[in-house]
Amino acid sequence: MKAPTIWIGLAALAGAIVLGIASGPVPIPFSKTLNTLLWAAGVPVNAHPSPEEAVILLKLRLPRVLKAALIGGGLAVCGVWMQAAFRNPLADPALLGVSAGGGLFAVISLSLGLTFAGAWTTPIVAALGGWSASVFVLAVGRVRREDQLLVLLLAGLAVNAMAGALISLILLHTREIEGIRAILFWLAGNLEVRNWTEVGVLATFVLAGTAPALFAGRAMNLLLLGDDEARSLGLPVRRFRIALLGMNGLVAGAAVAFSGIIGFVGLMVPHMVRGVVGADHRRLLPASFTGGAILLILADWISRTLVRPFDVRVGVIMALLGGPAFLLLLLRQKGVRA
Amino acid sequence: MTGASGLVASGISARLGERTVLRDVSLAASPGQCLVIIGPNGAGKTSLLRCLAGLLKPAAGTVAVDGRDLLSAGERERARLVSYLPQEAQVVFPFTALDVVLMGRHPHLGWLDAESARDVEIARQALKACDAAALADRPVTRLSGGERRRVFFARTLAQRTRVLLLDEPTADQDLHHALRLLECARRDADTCVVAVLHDLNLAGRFADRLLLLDDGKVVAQGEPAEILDPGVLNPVYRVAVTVLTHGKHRIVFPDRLPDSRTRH
Repeated sequence: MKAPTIWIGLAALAGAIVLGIASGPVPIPFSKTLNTLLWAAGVPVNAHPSPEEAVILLKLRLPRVLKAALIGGGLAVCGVWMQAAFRNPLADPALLGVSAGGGLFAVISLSLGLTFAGAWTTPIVAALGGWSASVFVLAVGRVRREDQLLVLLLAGLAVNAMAGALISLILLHTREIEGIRAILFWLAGNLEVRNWTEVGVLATFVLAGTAPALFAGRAMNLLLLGDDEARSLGLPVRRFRIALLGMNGLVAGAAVAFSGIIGFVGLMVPHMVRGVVGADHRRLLPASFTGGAILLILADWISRTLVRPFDVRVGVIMALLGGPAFLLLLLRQKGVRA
Repeated sequence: MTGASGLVASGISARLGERTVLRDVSLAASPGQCLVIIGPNGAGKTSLLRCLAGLLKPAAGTVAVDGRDLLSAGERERARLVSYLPQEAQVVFPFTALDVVLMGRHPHLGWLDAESARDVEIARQALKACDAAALADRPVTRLSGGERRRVFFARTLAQRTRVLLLDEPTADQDLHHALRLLECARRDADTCVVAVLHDLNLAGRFADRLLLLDDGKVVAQGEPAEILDPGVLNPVYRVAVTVLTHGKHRIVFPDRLPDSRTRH
């Protein structure tokens, strides 16, 4: 990646973070926000922030923005993985049912009140759901090898429908109204943060899941040439694909456990980023992580500021942005028969 | 068979699902030699190449390169011995031509290595040899079918293997590029080339040996002059051909269908 591209990407990310932190019910000017962030990072600054500002910016808003960045980056990388694994630029964890699988398992875990691993419980259970859905979609794709795009999207549709129905069933039988509301709120995209532990657990899942993939960029490139080509170039395709989908289930599942179902990040970001840095995964993966982080911080900012004080959920914003984008991609898609 | 130099396959039988696609096929290609597989549609030519490439596991038989059993070799080792150009390359992602050719260096690189200047040099040479140097920086998704094919062919050259397996490398090439690709393929005296070609005249022009496959079985194997013969070709291709002699080459002219009486 050319040096300027990296710096532009990081500058845009920093800009999005500052924007995300500066805006909220109590407006705080950019200069003060920046000042506070630098102060918190230990940089000597002229004016110390007031205690209220420090609490609002660092305790309330910063964790939320970081959470949005981790979820967005993680989901974008998931999109890249799935597109490579299925050799299809229209793959996305939400479209292919991985998020719904994670969501269903997370709802089960929450409604049963599972706590076998403390704060880690729901993400672990959701990862299992993500894996189950991946295995299902992969298996359907293996049975019918022709018209892969259509088969994958329809398999995803089936998983989404089944998981959706079971989630409704669980909600209908949840006794307290508040419990239902909480689950609905979370499913529609939840970037609220209760404490820093939550951000820490999320960061562990997302970073531990995505970091190893950064070293597999060259191998992922081969996968895009086709199974025979990749194997004749020395890639153990079957094992590699399973490993990719495994990491995908882990990260997408964890993302759902923390933030509900946020679609289209994995679809839109890699597509836009490819236009800038090309298809090489060694550039595409880090650039997509950055792009996903920026996109979700901005989507969260829109969801919080669009109709104040009414909170349009971030999942809704992403669906409204992503739906048309997906249709556009589908209609412009060349080289793949549906 | 061990110790024999070049590619040796013996007694290969293979199935695709329920169907038996290859029955007891044996062949050999020595370094510097070009073996061309011909045969009607559905004869099993592609399956045979995929067996030789280690991509389709034969139900019986062995494949060895310089005495090394290919079927038990690891993926990377195999990729350093044999390169394979499939019939159809479908790319939906905008890699540049140079990126694609550099992928041929993958089996020679460690997991974390980036391509070295030497790898880039090898890739550029391969592109140049295929008359595709000017395409280096263009996305392969924007190339014509023939151009893309040359880029993928350059990828197999950059792999620098002992054996080149080419499935219809000239299918969408004009005469110049068809000749050029085949010349390129057999330039190296250490490389064994096994190619599937549909054009019998091109096959006769380039092959040291021809292998005629029909219904998964070897019908005939030998020098082009022996195989390009109406007595051998007519029953297999279900046509009546006339074979002309041009210098040391044979030219096959498809005269008519066996049941039609009119000559065109």
